[in-house]
Amino acid sequence: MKQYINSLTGNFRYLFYELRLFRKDSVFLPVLGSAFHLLQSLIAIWMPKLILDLIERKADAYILLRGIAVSTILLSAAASVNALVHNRIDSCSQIFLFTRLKAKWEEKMMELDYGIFASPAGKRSAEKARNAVSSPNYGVVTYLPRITGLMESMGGFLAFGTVICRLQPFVLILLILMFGTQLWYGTISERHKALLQEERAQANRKLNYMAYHTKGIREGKDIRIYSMTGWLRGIAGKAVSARDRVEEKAARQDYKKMILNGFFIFLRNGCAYAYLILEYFQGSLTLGDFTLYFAAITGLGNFLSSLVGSWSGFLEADHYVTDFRKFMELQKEKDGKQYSADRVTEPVSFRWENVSFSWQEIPVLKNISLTIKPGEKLAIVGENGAGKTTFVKLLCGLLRPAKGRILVNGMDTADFADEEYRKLFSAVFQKSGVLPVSIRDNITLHAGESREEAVWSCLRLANLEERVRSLPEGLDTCLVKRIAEHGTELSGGEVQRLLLARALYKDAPVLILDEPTAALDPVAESRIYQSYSRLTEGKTSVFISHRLASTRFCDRILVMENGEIAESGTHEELLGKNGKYAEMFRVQGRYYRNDSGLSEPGNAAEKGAAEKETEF
Amino acid sequence: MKKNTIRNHRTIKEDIAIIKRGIREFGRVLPGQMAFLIFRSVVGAITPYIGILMSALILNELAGVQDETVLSACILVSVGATLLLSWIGYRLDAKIAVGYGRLFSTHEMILTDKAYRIPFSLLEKESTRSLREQVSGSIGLTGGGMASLYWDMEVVAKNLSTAVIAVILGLDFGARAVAGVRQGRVGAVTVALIVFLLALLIAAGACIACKCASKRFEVSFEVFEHGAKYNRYGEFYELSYLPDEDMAMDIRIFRQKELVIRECQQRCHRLLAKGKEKEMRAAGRLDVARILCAGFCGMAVYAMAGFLAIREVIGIGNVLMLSSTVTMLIGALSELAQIWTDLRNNNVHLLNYFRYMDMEEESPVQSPVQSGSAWKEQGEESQESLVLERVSFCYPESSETVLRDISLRIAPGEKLAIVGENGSGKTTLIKLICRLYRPTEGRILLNGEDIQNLPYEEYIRKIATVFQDFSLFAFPIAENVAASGVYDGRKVYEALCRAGLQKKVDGLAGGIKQAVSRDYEEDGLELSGGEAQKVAIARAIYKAAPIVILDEPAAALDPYAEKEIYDQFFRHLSGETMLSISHRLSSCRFCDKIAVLHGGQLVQQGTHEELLMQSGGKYAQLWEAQAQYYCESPVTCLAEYAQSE
Repeated sequence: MKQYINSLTGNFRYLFYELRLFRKDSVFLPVLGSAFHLLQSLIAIWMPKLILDLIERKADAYILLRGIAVSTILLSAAASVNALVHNRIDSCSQIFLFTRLKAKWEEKMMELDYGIFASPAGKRSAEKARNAVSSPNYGVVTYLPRITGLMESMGGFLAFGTVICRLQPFVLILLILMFGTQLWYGTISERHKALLQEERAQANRKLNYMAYHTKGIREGKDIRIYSMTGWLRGIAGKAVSARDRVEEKAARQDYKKMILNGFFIFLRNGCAYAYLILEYFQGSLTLGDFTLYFAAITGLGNFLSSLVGSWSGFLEADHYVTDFRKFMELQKEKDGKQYSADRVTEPVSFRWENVSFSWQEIPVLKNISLTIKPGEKLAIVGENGAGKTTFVKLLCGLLRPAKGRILVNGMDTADFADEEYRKLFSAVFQKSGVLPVSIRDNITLHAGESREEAVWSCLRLANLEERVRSLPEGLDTCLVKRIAEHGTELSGGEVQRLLLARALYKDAPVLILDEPTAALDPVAESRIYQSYSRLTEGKTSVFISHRLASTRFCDRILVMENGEIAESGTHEELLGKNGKYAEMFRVQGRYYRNDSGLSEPGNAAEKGAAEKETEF
Repeated sequence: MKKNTIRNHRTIKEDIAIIKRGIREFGRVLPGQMAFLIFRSVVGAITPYIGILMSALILNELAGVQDETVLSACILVSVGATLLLSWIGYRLDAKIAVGYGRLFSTHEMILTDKAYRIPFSLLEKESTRSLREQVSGSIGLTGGGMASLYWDMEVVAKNLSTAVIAVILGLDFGARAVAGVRQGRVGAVTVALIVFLLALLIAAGACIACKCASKRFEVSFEVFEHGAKYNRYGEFYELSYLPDEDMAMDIRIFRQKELVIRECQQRCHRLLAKGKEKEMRAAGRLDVARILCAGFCGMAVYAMAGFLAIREVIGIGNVLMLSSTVTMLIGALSELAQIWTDLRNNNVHLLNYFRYMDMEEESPVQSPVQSGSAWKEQGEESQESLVLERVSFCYPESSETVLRDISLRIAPGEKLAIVGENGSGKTTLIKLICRLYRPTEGRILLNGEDIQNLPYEEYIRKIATVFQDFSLFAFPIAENVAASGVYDGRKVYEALCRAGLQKKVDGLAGGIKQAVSRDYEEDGLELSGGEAQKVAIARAIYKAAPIVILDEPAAALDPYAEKEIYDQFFRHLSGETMLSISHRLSSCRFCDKIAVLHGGQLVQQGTHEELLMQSGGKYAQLWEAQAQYYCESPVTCLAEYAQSE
């Protein structure tokens, strides 16, 4: 309970702090909004009483007119201010969402410690936070309006309660009792609905998959070749009817609750009429009072039910704030007083000391020790899942070793600020992508000055200069057509070359290339290999590839297997060892050499099988 | 209003026709729901009038005769009718809630279902994709199109009924006034003046409210028009770029933070915020104008009704009734005017929806008139010959010729490899053979028949293709392999084994029934890129089609997996005709014939050995580029070849 309240007040403080930074006056809006809302509703029930009383007394025309004029002007004024304040609350929340909350989320996504970012818990938190600030219609954006709504309901209850107390306190008690019963039944009904929650979530997930994941466009070729339409339609139909069934159950719960609700309104209004008529007969009320009290009783009833609604509405908004706040409180990358990148002199060397790393409790790298000499060109080969990419992530400090340590030029990498340490690296990762910005920005990346000459020379090195020069807008050509309006689409191979240019532009002392040639045809691939030594001149480099061919340009090759370094040495040494590497090389290269004696598929298969048998 | 007609270039009649069609088509999205909603709105509109009418009667009775039976009757009717109507309303609400919750997703599914039926050549066009995105976006981002139509019809029904009832109650007021004149309580001229003034007030109130409303909609329409463009940026960063694990590495290594935040703010958020602010400001002004207008009308109505009540032309209860009725009438009329503007603006989205839904569809059976019999005789044979006759192709709406005058014969049972550099037209050629596109010139013949003349379903049954960008669905592995909900479990298992997934499948708790990915089933399994590719290969094996086409089947595999696939796959090939594309020329050595494409032209064809002998040829060039690393030196490598020949 205490924790609950802590979270409520914590969220309140957090959001209002941020709001105050955004616009100072926004903090007072809820108070102002609820005050004027209350004023408006009080005038609205008083005005008819005033007018009816005047008519009943057959007041003279001037007094009647004056009464009408004063009360309508007051009402209109209160309503106008109320509308303006609420409008301001909404617009303030939305602008706050777009210019602050979203930017905060984006910034956090990019500052988050990579290990946390990539963990399932981190991803879940990020997704929840994204959802909390994704829409102007729900999420954190509703916090301010909802808190105003809550204050309005409470204020309305107090004010109308006071009015009714003047008539008969017992009526108030009766109304509250009625409301209590409704509330009690409401919680029962919610509990029933909660039982459905799992089923509902599942049904909705399936429906959403059919609606949003498969659009029939990207999958178009497969759908046609394998005549999948009937199958997919069948599944879609099932998903819809399963979801309808569970939603009908939930709707039935709501229906029961509303039936009771309707019955209470029936009781309340009937009793109110009867009671007020009796009072009128006794002469204690005027006709005006009659309308006033009747309006107060129905008004109070409405405020009471809106109290529940606004409380749960507020809690909902509060949940979103919790989601958002929790994400914002996740571990950021290390910064601060630690070592800066200047301490590292080029060329860079690394030493791994008994480094182990586990991901989701599965060991990925086991006790790795190794030295990368200054300026060395290191290649890493190995099967999928051998730990190559994890090795690279640890090397560039995206992940931290669970055991052991990594030294750069003899200094522990743990002593560097993350952002500083990363200045040492430039990379083309396997799945790197381009942004919907100009080619220039795609290469220079962080905002600020761009060295035109350097951009062109990197494009030249990456063999993309001609293509860019042929574009009418040159370096200013925007990429990614589906997002940027006048964007240009580059082919897979061109993108890869652009990424290479980008990595070269950063001109960091360490260059990492993770499968940079997968989308290239043999000729383009070969061209990259040939220029490899030029690209990595004076740098320490790490090259990951499936294609063993490429590794021959490197000073040393590491063969990784199940998270360990199985072999290391130059291409010739490793071939001489006749171990894992030699075997992989044979497998991959046998089709290129004639000594395998294969030309018939049948033979190939037999030979393959034979090889396998001898292996084991 | 005039401005609006200019903007959307449509007459009122045309707009009404669009809305009518929209309502008809809505029946496909959520059958029956529109009727429920309209019924619900009518019930909702009647309910408050019961209270208003009965309160007036009760007040009149209290001020007058004070007959207890009449009073109790009034009370009973009032609360009883309200109860009944609210119960009916709740029942309808329950029905509406079920449908309403899946309006967006069902809408999306209808669009997807349409995508199944559009010819692929149209589907792949950029314009189709962006139209689809527009239609999805207009409903998904702003609730435009069908969603807006649905909500607007609710407002229309509600306000129309409110207005009609208000007019009926107004007639009652008229009758009382006429009676008052007859009884001499008030002069005929005064009553006429009051009625005239009332009508004027209502008209003026409605007009002013409507003017403000249309102004507001103009602003929001403008905001919305640009919103989709901004949202594309926002969605890209929020949904794809930032949450992506791989991109996160790029972001951190290259310190993209400032750039990305700047882009998000400048291209999306700040623009959206500005639009919202503009919209809200217009909304605020409108609200105040409406409130002041309603206040003034209310004042006038009270004054007139008070005057009549004092003269005892109308009962004291009728004062409140008249004032609420007039307020409600003005409100209803202005909302109707506003919704009319909204409906007309929304027609832009409806038209997009229609444009998408009206797109040409693949006719399910393409008449096999001339050739049916000949085709069927050969149909059962498993060996098929494929001939390309001077095939040229350029993509629709593009002037660039992708394939130029290609003639190629693939004998029954032959294994053909197609090689070439990026962009040489390999994949396009496959698309033509898969009948995803029609050749611009020339013909493709299957056993002597032009494939365009063969029944589509028949033809497609003969082809199994593994595309480079294949897709799997988040359903059970077995269903993915069979591409169907009904499958032969043993055959599926065999296909998976042949694709090299035996170990994986044997290790699964759910076996072949385990779902692929967790998007659909919670206990689904995440496949690696290589494993997914193997499933796609198993799908082609399962289909057991006489023509097998592989587009880079080993791109995502490591050398071992690649070897395994080739061995397994080729070992089991018997009579099938096969076409394969690969960057790794190693796979060509399995093939009977190799076709080399360059710049959309067929530059060489022949066996591996023949092509290598043509020194200086494209193939030798490609081969050398790759093989050099695997031989002691390129020169010796080629020399060895020459020797072995």
